[in-house]
Amino acid sequence: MAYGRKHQKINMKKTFVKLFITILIIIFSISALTFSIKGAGSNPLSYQTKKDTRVGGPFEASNSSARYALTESIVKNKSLFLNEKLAKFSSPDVVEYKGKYLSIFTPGISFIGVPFYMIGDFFGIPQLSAYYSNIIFAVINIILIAFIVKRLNQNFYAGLLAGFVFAFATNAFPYALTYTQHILSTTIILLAIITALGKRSAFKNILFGGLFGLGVLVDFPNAFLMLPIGIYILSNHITKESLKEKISLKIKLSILTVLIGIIPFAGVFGWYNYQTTGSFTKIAQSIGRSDAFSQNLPPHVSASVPEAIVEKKESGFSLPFRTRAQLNGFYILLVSNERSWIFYSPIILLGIWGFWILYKKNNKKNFAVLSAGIILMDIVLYSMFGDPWGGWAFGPRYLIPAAAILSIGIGELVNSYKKNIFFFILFIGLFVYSVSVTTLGALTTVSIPPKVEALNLPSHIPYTYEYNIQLLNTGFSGSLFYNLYFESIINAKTYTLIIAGAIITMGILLYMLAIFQKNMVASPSTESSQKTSRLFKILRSKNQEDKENV
Amino acid sequence: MFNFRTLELSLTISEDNRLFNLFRKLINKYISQIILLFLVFLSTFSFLIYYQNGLGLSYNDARSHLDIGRRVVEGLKPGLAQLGSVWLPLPHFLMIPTVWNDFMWHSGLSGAIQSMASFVATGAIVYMFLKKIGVSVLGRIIGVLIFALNLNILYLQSTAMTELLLIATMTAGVYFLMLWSKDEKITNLIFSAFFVMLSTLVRYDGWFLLAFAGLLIIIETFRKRGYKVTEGTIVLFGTLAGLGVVLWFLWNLAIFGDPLYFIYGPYSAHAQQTQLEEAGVLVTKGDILLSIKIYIYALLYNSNAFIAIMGAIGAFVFFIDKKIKTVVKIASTALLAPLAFNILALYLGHSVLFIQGLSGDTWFNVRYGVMLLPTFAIFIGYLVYKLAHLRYVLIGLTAFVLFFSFVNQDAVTIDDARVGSSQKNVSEVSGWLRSYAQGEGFILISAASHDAIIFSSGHPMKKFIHEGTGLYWDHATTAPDRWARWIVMRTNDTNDSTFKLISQTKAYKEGWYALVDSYPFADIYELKPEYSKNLNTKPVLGKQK
Repeated sequence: MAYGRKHQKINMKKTFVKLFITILIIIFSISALTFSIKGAGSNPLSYQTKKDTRVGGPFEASNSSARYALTESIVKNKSLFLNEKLAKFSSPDVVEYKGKYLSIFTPGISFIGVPFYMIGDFFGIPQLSAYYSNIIFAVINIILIAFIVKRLNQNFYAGLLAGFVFAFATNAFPYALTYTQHILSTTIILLAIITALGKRSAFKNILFGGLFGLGVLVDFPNAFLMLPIGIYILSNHITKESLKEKISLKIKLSILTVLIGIIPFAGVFGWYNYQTTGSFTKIAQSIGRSDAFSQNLPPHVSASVPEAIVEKKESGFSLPFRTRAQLNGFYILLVSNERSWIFYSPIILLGIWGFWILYKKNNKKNFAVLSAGIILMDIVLYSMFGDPWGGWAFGPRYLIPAAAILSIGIGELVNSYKKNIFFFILFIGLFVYSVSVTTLGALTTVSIPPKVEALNLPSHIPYTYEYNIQLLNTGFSGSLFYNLYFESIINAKTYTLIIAGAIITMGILLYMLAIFQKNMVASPSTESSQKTSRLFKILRSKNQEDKENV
Repeated sequence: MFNFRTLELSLTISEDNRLFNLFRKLINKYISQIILLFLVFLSTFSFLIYYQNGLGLSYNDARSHLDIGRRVVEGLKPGLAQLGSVWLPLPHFLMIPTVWNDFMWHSGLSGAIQSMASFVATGAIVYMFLKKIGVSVLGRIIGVLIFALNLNILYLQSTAMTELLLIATMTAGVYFLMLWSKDEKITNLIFSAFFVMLSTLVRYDGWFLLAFAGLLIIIETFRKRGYKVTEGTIVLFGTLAGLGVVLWFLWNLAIFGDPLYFIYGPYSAHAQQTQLEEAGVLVTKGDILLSIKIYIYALLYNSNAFIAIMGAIGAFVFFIDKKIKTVVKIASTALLAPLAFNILALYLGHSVLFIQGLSGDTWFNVRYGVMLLPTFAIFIGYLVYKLAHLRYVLIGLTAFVLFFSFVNQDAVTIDDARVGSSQKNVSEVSGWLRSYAQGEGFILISAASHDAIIFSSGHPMKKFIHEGTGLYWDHATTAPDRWARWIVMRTNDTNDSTFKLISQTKAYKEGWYALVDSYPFADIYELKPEYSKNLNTKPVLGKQK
């Protein structure tokens, strides 16, 4: 009895410490992102009313400004169409249809930004507030990754570290400061993975359906990225049993509840399309870009091109995912110094190793396979895309969801090799490099030209993060806080070093905590490990079924 | 059965259910036949598609192949000698039974039918190869699908091109070689030699396979049995496998008086390559890195980069798998022979291949990259078998990639045939001949330069006097006004043998022929009525030797 009470006390203490560390990480992450948020110091605050598309600002790329324009149009003009001023601001990501202008993108990000914009507008900072929505999702992603890793190996701090690595050592960091789809898409995919784990229920199915619908509303290719999860969930509704002299195939029709979740978002999407194009199914991307304002655009804006999911053709349209583009796509995304992880965040490659460990463990095999499906789908999908660079961008921006999932592998790897000194050196080395590069992007610009364009510019711009270093060396910083408060005290380079240093320190601290975290799989007495055991029992039984099927 | 309480739809089948057992038996016992039927259906369906949209005859070479076959059975001087020396003879030889029929000739079916049969055969060989190395049914099916659902393969098997026949004979040769290395049955070695021999009569890639396979046989036998057995084995293999090569030398000697005529003749690949080299476009010659790069690009464009990468991973897994016998691994390296051959041919300047964006702004011969597809199919089938749980991810992604290739009709060989240098749109000039060259009289034309025009004009072969018509050609190029009512040639281009010879004649110099029309590929001349009194319009020379 006394032993039980003592044990309970220890558990409570542990929970309290974990909660404290989690809150600390949340506060730290929000602060690091806030200190990096884009803006310029002036009175009134820059970018809040003026539509300035200069390099390093929040509107430097049209994939942010076109989405922001729609948010502003909804709030200010009560319209889903863009007036001429906003259309010009959104160009080239603007569509002209029946004499009216609309954003080329699916409206999810713009819709979600509306309440943030309204709150910000009240205080005179609508842009800052709207962009803050992305920061919130970036922090949520850290927690979601930590949650999944904890479910896998019980090492809570390794999970937090994995989430932290994703948030600050990949290009998710600079893109958390934009108004683009990447961060929210990642949140949705991570949530969908969580709904896919464990025993199926109608509620989980509805939730997955909702996430799927929301995902499509945020960015159309999310439908493809979530396809492996959908197939995995479907497979969980089918059971094959070999009884004595009988073979039984059972399909749980509760799978249909997924549709309940999809319908509201499909309705919103259909309504948006109907309002803008007059058809429930005609999407802006099928109409094609307007070139009404494309002349005299600055190169970084005019070239921040295609996210269109359909291409205009002489007759009809075709999907822009071309198998012939794969060779270039694989090269750009996986090997080149223009965009690949090797050059921008090599630490993420450790995740492959982590997933190999997961794959080798029988009870985690299914999770590893599901994750591999999503990661490879992301890579294969965008390797076929005509513009794997993502226009003028920083790192492989289309692979941000894949990076999030690979981070889960890092969590597993850290848990497995946390006390190995050589691994520690490798991890820290890659972490320091990756954080340094991504901080550069976050504090300067995410608009780096593809090589082919950089070489043809009248004035030469490097096509790697060397461009960010160049900008920093000229004393440029895109950080609002630096420009507001610190410019007169320290130079931009020092400010960047401080931010990067703080992130690296926090990362090392989390690594240390991960070392001291006891592996709790061995003591299944606690509530959380009991939950985990249940989860893996289900995964294990699924695994055995698969084996039988094979 | 539907359970309202659990919302479950269940299907329970008793093991002794007759229908179920029949179905299971059908699948287990007749899976090979089902796959064969599927391949036949796919092959026929693809041919019909490309026949209807006219793409089946887009390749200039496809029309030339059909004309060569046709000349054997119909023309002013029909006979086997018409097989010529420009290309190896087997594809044209196989056309003989059908090409006499106008529909078979002009639809391209006479040439396509052997490509279609080769397509089905290769699919079956991929299946059998995987079966023999112990791959599960799923892996075998995936292997076949990788091969059969490639748009470039589907397109080429619908044409009178030689790729599919070459692929089939080479893959069959390697398949039996692998079987021989496994069970050492002499019949397998003989079958291997037979198919290698056939491949040597399709394209020179087969000659490389002959040498490569011979080397592998030497290595394998020497390892196991020593020198004496090696000597006997290689003699046995070489006698049959090398027969085609020997016959080809003899053929060239008998018909053209020079056993090396196919190498150094005026229409040989060597002559073409020399011209290209003089024009400065044979960039791969002497540059091994560029040769590798160009061929790898062709390979990746034809197979899809994803498929090629998976194939490479599969090959790696195959060659490090300790469960596979070393002898099987050694024999299976022959699957990579096309890779080595094509790179070597580019490096030595015996082959030319243009990749758009890499070597100029056009495609040419990019279809050579399709040769490794059965290899990829076999290794991917093997990978699917080995990957266990990850196999579903691989299958899903492959289906995903294939879906987009079909939706966007993304086939590099079609582009080469339609807009690349492998095409030749002669519809204008052949249209003129079809409409206005209807009356009596022969058309003088160089088949070497304008076979596509001959084919597309719709006229029978016997209306044309070309290089292969013996005395007709000799007479017509000396005194054209006696033999040719129309002349089709590229004026002022001495590469066009008609112009080269005609330009020396009195009829041409004194303007007895009127230029009736000019087109991008040729000009058409017609004999003026006042000079036509001596014109022969009938094949009066009779049968020539």
